[in-house]
Amino acid sequence: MPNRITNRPIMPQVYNHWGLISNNLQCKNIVRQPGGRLWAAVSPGPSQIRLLMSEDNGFTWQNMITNVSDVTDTRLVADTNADGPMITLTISEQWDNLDVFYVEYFSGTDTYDLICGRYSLSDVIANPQEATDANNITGETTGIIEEDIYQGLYDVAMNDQETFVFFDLSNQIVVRRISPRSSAVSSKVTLSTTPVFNIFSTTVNANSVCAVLFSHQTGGENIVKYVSYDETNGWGTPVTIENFGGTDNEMRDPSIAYDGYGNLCALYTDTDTTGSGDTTITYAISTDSGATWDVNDLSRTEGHAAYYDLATGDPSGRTQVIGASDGGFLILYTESADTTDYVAKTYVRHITTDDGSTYTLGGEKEIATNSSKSTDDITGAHFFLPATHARLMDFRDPGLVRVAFNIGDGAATAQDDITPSTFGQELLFSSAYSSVLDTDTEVYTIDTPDSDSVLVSFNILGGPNENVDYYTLGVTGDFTDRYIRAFDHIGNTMRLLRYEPDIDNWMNDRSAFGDPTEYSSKCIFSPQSYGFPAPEIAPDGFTSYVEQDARIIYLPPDIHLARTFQVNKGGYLKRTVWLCQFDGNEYELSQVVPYFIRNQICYYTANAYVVGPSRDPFARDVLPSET
Amino acid sequence: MSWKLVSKTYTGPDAGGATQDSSYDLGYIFYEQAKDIIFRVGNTGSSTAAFKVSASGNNQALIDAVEFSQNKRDWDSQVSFSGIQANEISDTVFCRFTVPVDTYVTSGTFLIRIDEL
Repeated sequence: MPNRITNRPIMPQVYNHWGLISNNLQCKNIVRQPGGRLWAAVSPGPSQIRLLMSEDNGFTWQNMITNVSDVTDTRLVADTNADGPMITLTISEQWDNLDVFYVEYFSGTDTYDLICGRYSLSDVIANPQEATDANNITGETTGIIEEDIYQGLYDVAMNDQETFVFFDLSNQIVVRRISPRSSAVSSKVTLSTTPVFNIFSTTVNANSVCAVLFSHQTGGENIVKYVSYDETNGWGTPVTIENFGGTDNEMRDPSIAYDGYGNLCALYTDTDTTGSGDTTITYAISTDSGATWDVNDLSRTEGHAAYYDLATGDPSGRTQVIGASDGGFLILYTESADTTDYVAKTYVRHITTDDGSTYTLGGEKEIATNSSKSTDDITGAHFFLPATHARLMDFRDPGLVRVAFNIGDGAATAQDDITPSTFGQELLFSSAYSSVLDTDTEVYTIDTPDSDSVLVSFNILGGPNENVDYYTLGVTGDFTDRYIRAFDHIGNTMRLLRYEPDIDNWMNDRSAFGDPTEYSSKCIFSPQSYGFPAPEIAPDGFTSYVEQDARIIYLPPDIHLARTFQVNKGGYLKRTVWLCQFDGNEYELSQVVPYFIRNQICYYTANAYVVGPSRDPFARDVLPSET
Repeated sequence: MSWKLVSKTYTGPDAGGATQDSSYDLGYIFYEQAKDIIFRVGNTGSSTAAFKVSASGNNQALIDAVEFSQNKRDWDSQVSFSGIQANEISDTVFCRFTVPVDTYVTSGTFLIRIDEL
């Protein structure tokens, strides 16, 4: 399946490994609108927030807003309970709001303010802008939510009715609500439980019932707890999910989500803070609105080990959960995939249910395998959350769920790494869930004959993703031989050049490819396939002519235009380029189609495009479905 | 085992000397394309026997895609015949396999199972 690589990175080269995925917190900075528009709010550097959007399913990304603060840091500084920028993005299509939440750090007083910039969604799309001051954003009407919040810790949960902003004030969780209509911010409502240790995670359902996962340190014990909040009843009574029985272990990277049955899944990294520093990925499910919890530790795959954040040395699971409208959850986490080089990899698992009462944990699937090399660190990922958190996604095909991830690791705590990271993204179809089969294996199980049976084997031709040299494979016969003789008799000798892309190259031009390999063959150009320029008719009439200088070329069965796809370091999707030189012209060959007679390869056709200023085969955008 | 699958190319009368088919390779097939295997069952035992021919294996989708016939008109998931005397060969058995559409797999296997009744 050569064309699994379908997506470009959100940003291909960033010297901030905490710009997309922070350490030990769950910023909700990656979202998708119901219509498919994708958004990412990331931090290329310590005082910069960048908002990017894709309207073509992640194929290209457009920079919408760059927000640079010249006096403050829009981040959490290292060595607090969490590290990195903490950006949350919510979108209300109904009220045309695009809200960007972030914290500003004041080093002189060592304090954090919680900020919300509210933009007009339609204005941002129509007029992408460059702002120069984080406190003076065009269109911002809300501003500071709270000053001097504890260690910059906050989380946001949003449904169509309102936005709930939770933050830590003096080790207590406080909530304020923001109206989508008036931008008014409600008064504070404080949970009496204290101290709330470390960080917390929140979500909300369509009925405006919020679920909060937090860590309570009391009586010499770290306890993972759940509490509800809604405007009518206020804070509920906290319920213990897991008591670590001391302070050697603590919860990190908490995440909580509802599913379509209204059930809750809490996911977190149980972290040993003493000598071993080991981690245990833990999920707990409640089917009774948080009253009781079924707690499960994931069994670590043989050969895996805990992942340690390179900049701080902290063990971290980078856990996140998202709920499905049809019931069930997807979870993701990061571990070291080996105990030699400790390469970080990120994995997903599907927790399924048929009835909302029994949940089954699926197998571990690695993400980003087609967007990175095996030696690359994948130091965490975020699901593309619904832009309105209470609107759940359908996971019947988990391959349609999209994730963003960080490729590379950095050692700097000040968000100015020496080595670059890539903010990548993909559909889970691209690697983790490339197919949905009952057997979940992608191949039929091979049979073994015994004394009462005889084996029958077969291969399948014409799969939708094949890139097969049928002649070398032996899919040949008398018809193949006849076509080869025919091409020898009536074909013209043509020179073919094959250029392979270099995955380590940063460029989007000829230099991103190696030296060509030369072939020659007897091929045939179809004389009828040239079209005269066609008029392009715009709504207000004729505008220009469109070149139709594409021809069909017939290729003999023993010439296979093999092609590979890869995203290079510069974030450009490159495909093998085949050029054909004939009669003074140079053509790019694309869109190869094999033809068979009686299951024998007979010939191929390809489209031939004249290479020129308007069509540079080395620099042009390649469609992921193009063969 | 008191049987052998006799090759369709064998023209002799006795099972003992018959050319045996030990496996079948259907080669490359398109989705939903049908391909036939033709064979006969030779009784290599010392007494008259009855046989049942069916498909088996690990993949139910493939087993369901296999049919058998003795006349190429009436197809079923199995065929049976009796009264095959020692060293005798049965009438021709047609095995038809229609490739199921599952665009994520590129190859597979199934088993032709012979049960002596």
